This record gives sequence, structure tokens and C-alpha cells, in this order.
Amino acid sequence: MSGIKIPPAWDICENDVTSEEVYLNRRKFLGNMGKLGVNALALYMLPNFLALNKVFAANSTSAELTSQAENNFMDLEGRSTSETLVSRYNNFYEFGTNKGNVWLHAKKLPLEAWTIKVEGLVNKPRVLDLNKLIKKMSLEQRVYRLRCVETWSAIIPWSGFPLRELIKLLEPLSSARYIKFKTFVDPNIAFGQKERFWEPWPYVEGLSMPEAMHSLTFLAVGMYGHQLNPQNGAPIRLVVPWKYGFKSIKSIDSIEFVKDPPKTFWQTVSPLEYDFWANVEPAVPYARWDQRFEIFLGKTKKKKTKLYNGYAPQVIKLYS
Amino acid sequence: MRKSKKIFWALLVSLLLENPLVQAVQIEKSTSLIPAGEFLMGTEEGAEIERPVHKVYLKEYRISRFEVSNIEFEKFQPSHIRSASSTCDHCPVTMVTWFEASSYCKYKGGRLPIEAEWEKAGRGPNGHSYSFGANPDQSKSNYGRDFQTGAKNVNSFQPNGFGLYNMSGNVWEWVNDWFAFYAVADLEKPKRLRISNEKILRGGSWYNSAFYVNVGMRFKLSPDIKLNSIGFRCAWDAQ
Repeated sequence: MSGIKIPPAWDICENDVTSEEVYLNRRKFLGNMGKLGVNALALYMLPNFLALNKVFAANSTSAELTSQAENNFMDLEGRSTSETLVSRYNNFYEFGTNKGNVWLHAKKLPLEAWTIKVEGLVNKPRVLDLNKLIKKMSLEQRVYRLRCVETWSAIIPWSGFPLRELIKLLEPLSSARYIKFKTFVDPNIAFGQKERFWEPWPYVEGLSMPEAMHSLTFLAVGMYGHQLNPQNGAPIRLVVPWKYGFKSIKSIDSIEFVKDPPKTFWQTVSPLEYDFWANVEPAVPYARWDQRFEIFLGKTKKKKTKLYNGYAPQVIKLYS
Repeated sequence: MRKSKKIFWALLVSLLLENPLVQAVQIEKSTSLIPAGEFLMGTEEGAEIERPVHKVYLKEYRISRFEVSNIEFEKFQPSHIRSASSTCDHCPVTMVTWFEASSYCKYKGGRLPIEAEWEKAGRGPNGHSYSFGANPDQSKSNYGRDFQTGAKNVNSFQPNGFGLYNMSGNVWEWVNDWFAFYAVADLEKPKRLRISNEKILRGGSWYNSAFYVNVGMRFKLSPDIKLNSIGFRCAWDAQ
């Protein structure tokens, strides 16, 4: 990897260097985690973090994960987006529509003893204890591009496990053709759910089973080497990098296997603007935005949007 | 001769319907009399705006047993366009601003219920959290459904102990009050701003979850907004 670059004057220099150091020097950072008094969830992740060696590279011709040494994604795009930017500019309407304030309001979200209800067309409906689930999974890091429908984008190092590994554990029935996710509902904590009472809460998203079983589809429990921030979807969220960001549902508390495509939150709110698939396609104006260009958080220059957000070689077969 | 007889009878019926005595009888039939007395307003299940639970005394009053329906409202405002979520004649009228709701109630010789009246009526004689009972139960009310299912007839499901239909679920209902924190709460925070530019809504709708159809929960919105899920019912001072 190249040495630390001097960021431009308008960049958040200190934090950007910090985030790059964190990303590249995981052992040193993890050694400090204990001193910061991190919670039990993060401590569970320590052994798994030390074993991190899989970094997915977009723009690779390989459909599967490559080793870090072959990671050309980071070289093409530079360093990952500053964590400060990623954690202070959020769409999470449960905590209001002011992107810059979500992080403050989301602090109220209680993360301890988080459970996920599993139901529908599955062998054994149950309630998962998230802490126990994480212990069972082999955690890995994925550096993904995130592309918001609002035409901003970021590069984020997530930590977690492939969704397909969880699906294998849950044993859906053969009649399950789609997977439906829900976020929590608690208007006493999430004032956005109280203020915007007319919205069809909870937030709902879904994937087809082929999409859910794809190697790229990821359940993140961490980012930048630590537990997910509440405003970024703690304690567990979906990451589907070839789709618009609103498909990557946050703070999941329910998974249901269903026969038909679930009606998603944005489909219900604005059916003429949003569809179920929401794949990043620059030639297709989506919602109220022209999707041909995007701007990385922290930058000012427009860049051309890539088909399927740069993951076309890996996912195009899903839609042919 | 035949034509003139028809005109005569049509005029007579029209005059009768406008007769205050006839109207009073109609109102009595379509309303419930809520007896004077105290009730506990507010809920600890809510946030700061729903607390504290406190006693409120109300004189007796009448309140519509049903949400105002499309067919009723269109006698007042024939140009009204029905919401795609509430299309049938006897489905609740929605896509009405607070002002339109208030005007309709005045046209019927009444008014929008004040928030306390709505909540007392919604709780029923036993003071339940939901109009249909103490606990959430989707079989007893139109709530927690997909958005596409829409509102049901105003007389759907069973009435509560005061004979009122769909106080929990079906459609949101405008009430008369501007939003403010409960006055009793202000004793602890006397400097808190009590002026608001939003009107209160109660009751939840067909696609809201149980939290929203709890009759103690308060919601607010600018009075000039109309939504597919917002309707209303009227109230009258007892004669």
C-alpha cells in the first residue's frame, strides 16, 4: 500500500489519516479497544478481527473474494471515506430527516440484548440472540462502495458475515423465494417514527433468494474496525453494494422468508418512484435524481456512476 | 300534476331535514352520549407529551358513533375527491384538512371533539388503552395491515363500550386542539413553550402498528395538510 497521502485543505485531515491508520493497522487499534472500555459485543469480535484477511475488490474480474494483496479497488478509488463523514451524514428517517443530526438522536437506540425474529417459510421460526449469533459466525471485512439514490457515495470498510451463511443456518423452505427484513418500531425512542406517523413503519426491505445468497450480500456488525455506530445501522444491517443505499436496511430486528416480493417501505410511500429491485443503473433516472453521476462524500467533483455500482462482473448474471 | 306533486314532496322532505328538531333526532341516533365524569388522560406507555397520566373532568357531551363517511361529507362538499385508500360510500372520508373537518362539523351543528373528549370516548367506560380492549388485537380493529388494503366501512368491527366504532385504527382523526404539553406537566416546566401551530390527531389508521392506535397516544400535524389516512368525527354539547 502507498504511504499516507496528505489530504486536500477541505478534507477532514486528522480523521481521514486516523481512519486510514485504523484500517491499515488493525492490531494496534484492537489493542487499544480494551483500554477504551468497549462493550461485550465488540470484544466478541476481537479474535475474528485479528484473522481478517479477506477484502472484496470491486472491478475485479473474479466473481469471488480476492486476497488483500490483490485488492485493486482501494488503489482505484483511493482511501476509504473518512469515518467522520460517513458517521455524520446519514439517512435514517427513524431519527429525523436532518442528516447531520441523526447521530445525536440515534444514541438513544438501545443495543444491548438485541434479538432478531425469524419467521415465515422457514424450518424453525425462532428468535435469534444477536450476541450468540455473532459468536457462531466467521467475521470478515469487506470494503464496499455505497451509492445513495441521492447521488452521493462513499467507500466503507464493513465487518460482518455473508448473508448466505445466516440463511444456511436458518434453513428456509424451498417455497421461500424472497427474504423480507424489518427495522425496529419504537416511536418513544425514534422520534422520526412519531413525527412522521403517517409513514408505513417499520422500514421494510427485501431481496430475492438468489440475491440474498450471492457472495457479495453482507450483514455488517462493524465498520472501520469497531462496532457499527447507531446512526449507521447498529447493531446489524444489510449491505448490498450493487443496489441503491436504501436497500441496505439498518437495525434489523426481523427476518421473514416469503413467497412473493415484499412491498418495501419506499415502494409503499412512493410507488411511482421506487421499485423492488433498485439496482444502480446510470442510464435509468431513478426517483427524482439523474443517476448518471455521483459525488463521493467529502469531494466536490462529479464522477460517472458505474453500472451496478461497479459490481457488474459479479452480479450481472442475476439479471440476465 | 304528477310532476308538481313530486316537486312538492321533495321540498317538504328537504324542509323537514333542515328542521332543527329533525336534525336533533338524527344526531341523537348517530351519536353516543358520554356521561359527565372524570377519566384518566394520558399514558405512561408514551413519551413526554403523553405524560403524566392525570384526571380530567368533562361535562356530558355527544360524539359521533362513526367516522364521517364519504357520502355524508359529499352532501356538504360535492366537489370532494375520494382517496384511493377509502373509496366506498360508507368508508371514512379522508384527504380533508383540519379546516374542512371543522367546517363540516359546524355545518352539522356541532364541532370537532376536544382531545380530552376524544380520548375519554375512545377508552370506553373501562378506560382501556385501545378502543377494543386492554391489549392489542388485530382481529378487533383495522390496524397493522398493508397500506394497500385501505380503510374499511365506518361501521366495521364491534363498537366499544360507549357504542363508538373505529376509535382505534381505520383512519386518523382530527381533534380540535392545538398541540401543547399537558398543562399539568407544565407545572414542572412552567417556561416550556405552549403555543403550537399543529393540530392533534388521534387513533391511528389501518397501516399503523399497535403503538399508534393506543388511544392515549398523541400526534400532531399542520392543519392545512390532507392525507389518505386522516378523517374525523364530530361532537356536540349535550342538549
